[in-house]
Amino acid sequence: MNRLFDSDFLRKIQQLALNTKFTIDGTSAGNRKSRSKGSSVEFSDYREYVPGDDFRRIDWNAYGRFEKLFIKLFMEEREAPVTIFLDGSKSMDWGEPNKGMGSRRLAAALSYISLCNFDRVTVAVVDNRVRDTCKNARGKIAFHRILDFLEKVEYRGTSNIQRAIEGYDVQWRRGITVIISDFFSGGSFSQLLKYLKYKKQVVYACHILSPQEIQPDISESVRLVDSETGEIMDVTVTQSLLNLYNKALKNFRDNLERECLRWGAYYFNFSSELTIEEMVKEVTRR
Amino acid sequence: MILRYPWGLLALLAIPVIIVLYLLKQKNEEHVISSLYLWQNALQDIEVSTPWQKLKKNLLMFLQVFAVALLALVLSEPFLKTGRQLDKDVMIVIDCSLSMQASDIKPSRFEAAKEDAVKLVESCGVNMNFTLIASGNTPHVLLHQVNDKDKVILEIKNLQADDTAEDIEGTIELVNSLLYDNPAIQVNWFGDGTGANEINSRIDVFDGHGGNDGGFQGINYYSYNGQGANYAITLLSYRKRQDSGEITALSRIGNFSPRDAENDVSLYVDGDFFDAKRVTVKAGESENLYWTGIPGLAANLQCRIDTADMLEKDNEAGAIVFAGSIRKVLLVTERNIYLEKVLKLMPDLEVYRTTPVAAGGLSFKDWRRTGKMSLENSEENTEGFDGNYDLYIFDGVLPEELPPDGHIIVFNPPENRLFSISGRSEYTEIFATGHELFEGLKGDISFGAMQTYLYELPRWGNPVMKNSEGIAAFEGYVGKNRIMVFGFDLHETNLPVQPYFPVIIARAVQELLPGQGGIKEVSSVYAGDAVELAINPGAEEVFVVRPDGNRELIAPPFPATRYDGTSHIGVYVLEQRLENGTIRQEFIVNAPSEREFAFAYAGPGSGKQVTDNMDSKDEIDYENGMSNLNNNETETGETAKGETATGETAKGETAAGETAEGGKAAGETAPGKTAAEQPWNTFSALLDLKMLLLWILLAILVLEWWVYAYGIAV
Repeated sequence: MNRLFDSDFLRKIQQLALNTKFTIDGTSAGNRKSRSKGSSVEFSDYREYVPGDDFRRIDWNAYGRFEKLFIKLFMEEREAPVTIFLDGSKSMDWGEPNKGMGSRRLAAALSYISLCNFDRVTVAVVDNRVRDTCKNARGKIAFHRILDFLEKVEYRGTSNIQRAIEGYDVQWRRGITVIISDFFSGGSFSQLLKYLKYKKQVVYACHILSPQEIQPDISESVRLVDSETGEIMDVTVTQSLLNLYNKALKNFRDNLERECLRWGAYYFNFSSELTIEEMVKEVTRR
Repeated sequence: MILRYPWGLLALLAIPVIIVLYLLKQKNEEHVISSLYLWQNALQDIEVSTPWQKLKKNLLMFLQVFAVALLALVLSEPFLKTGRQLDKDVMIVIDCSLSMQASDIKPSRFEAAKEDAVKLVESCGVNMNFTLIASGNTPHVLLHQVNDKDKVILEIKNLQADDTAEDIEGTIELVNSLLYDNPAIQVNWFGDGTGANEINSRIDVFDGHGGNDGGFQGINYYSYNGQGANYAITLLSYRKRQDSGEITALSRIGNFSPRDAENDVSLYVDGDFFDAKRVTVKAGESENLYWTGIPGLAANLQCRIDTADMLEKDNEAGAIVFAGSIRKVLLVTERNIYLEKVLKLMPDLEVYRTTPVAAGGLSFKDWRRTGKMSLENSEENTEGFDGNYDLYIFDGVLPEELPPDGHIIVFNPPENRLFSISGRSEYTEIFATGHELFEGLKGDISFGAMQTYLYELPRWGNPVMKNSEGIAAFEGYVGKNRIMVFGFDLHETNLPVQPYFPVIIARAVQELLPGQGGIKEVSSVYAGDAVELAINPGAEEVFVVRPDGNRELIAPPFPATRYDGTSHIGVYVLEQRLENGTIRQEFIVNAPSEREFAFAYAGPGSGKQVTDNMDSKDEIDYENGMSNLNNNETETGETAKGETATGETAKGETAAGETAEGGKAAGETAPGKTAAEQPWNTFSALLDLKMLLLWILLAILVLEWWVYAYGIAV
């Protein structure tokens, strides 16, 4: 096993998968239940037979009792699509502990839990577009494919998650969308949430920042260089400037949370120094 | 705006240096972060709140450049050309008199005036010419049309005030004569009068010289008068009663302040406390105090006011009591009843008479011993007499060799080698010249003579009497001897029957008698006044020791008739070195407060009147001349002009009345420097501007520190 996903990590997420539920409604135990009635084993209701119905589903016992043809309806069991968008911009490959590592581990953990729930998991790396995907993984057997995929993720360039997701050519089905990013990206987060809401997605926005971003450890005149764009900025860091920074950070997080609340999404802000258990517990508590 | 020191702009060279340094400035250490997004947001608030974001990137640099520009401006001392004097040459008149030493303006009026004068000079342009006049007892032109500001400033700083009264008229005349050539010059007068308007109103004389036509626009008068209280002893005189020998002293206490004052006054006799009195003096007036019962042997009187005021110097006055010694006169005549009668009437005079025959065949030394007869007792009296006389009067004769120890009066002299006879008039009328012998005498001074010699006026002579054809009488110094020559025989004129005859003879004798220790009956004088000297003809050297201990040689050259170095108050000593010893005589110089403060306190308007009062010479009613001469009491007043004590009191009241009037006028003016009367704003503008620039510079430095500390710069 590689360094990113070592056996210890895997043991942890297996444990997490036993103890946590990651479902669309967030309340029902077991597999995802669709509202469409189908041919599953779980009885749901009766209705009168109309021409065109599958006559194999006629309940002959009921005909014997009532002399009317009834169709037996069952709850159709379906797999829920879980799509995890992982921000692949350069800014994610920063911090100590590294944001990129933390975000990949979170993506792996959520994937594993979803696979355990018999959901269909897609992991996509996005920058200004969906750069790379690992589609439709089903069953635990597919988890290694996801791990391999995450192992090879490269962080580079800038990102525009809104444009990337809106441009993602996929047949959206009702499901879960997880976005793991530092959200230092272009585009409108609000528009993105609106779009995903329209696509009947339950959105989990995981905002991950490194401790150095949450509490900068700069205390003198420095030239700040943007890791994505190379843009520079000379600053003399003083306490008052740090206060302003903290205020800007708080505003940033508050804005994201407010947008999530507005569009019915879930917002989580994480420090990359959190353990994977802490992150997963936070997400699955919803 | 004009730059006084344009070289200060050299500091601007620092600006390109700053800019270059910024360009070359070592870049900050690079620090890669994930994104600038949050930092940009953090600085957004500051950007929004500051309208000069564009400057922000190099704010520190701009602040430094601005600071340097301001520094250059401060160094070059800009000033606003608000006054009218900047394009004119400047004359500075500084009052250096006694009243300027008053401390009602700190540290003193004089120091404040000097300081402002220096600032005025500093505020002037570099191409201007300065004339500096010290206005005291005698106005002096210290610098004339000098272009060197440093020299002018140094000269002003070195100015010293003395204890004399300001001769404002003399200064005005001097200023006037200087303005004659250059009417456009701007006159700045630093004094302690109360206002520019008043002083300007007194300087109408300028108009007469075409000053206004030439661009003269009046004088800028800078007044340093804090209206502080000053009390002064303006007079200390005494009289010695011949009968009892006791001395009665008169002191006059002047109150030169706007309020009535109660003063304690003490009298010290020979340095010991004698008596003290309390006197209330009304504002602007003076009060006389009499001190009686002073022992006749007293030699020195000192009167002191014990109340503190703005000028301590004039709180004390002193007087030397003259011993009133007997002087000896030798009259060489066959017989002259007129002269003998007059000489007999004069007090403190011992007259001896001898005849030309008795004098003829003897050596000079022996000849002098032939003064056989004292006119007092008509008896021969040669016992124990050393043959020295203080005055010789020759009638019809003149020895070849002049006596070395006394001055000479000669009537009808024969031909001799000292002066030459130019002619002779018969039945002629002789009349007086303007000689001081006739000063104050009323009416027409002339008399008839059967005959008189006429003289060519010698180089050393001053005319005394003349007729229509020439000089009939003259006087002057021949070496150390003063000789007064009358070209007629008294018996051949009707002069002896004229009412003024005794006055003329008495004055002539007094004039030629050596004074007390070489000083003519003046126990004390006012600072700045001349002391009349009557030096002993035997003196080889004459010195004056000043109060500060400096020794001043005043003779040779002879004759030394007056000493006018009395610029400071205190005790002076006149030293005459004779062949066989030294004669020392003290005299006291007192503060001329009545003259000085009447002007300074009451304002320029009344200064002249007061001065005139003090200097005026009473006209003597010669009808009463004899009775004056018969007075048994000798009196010595400070003015030594023959004023009686009563007369002085009356004058004192007059002067005081004027002072009070002036005081009211002065009270209308704000104390201290009257800014409204200062037409030049340059100095204050300079101060304001300079201070403003310095404040801005300070603010920039604080801002720079703030920017550095709190990091606005990006």
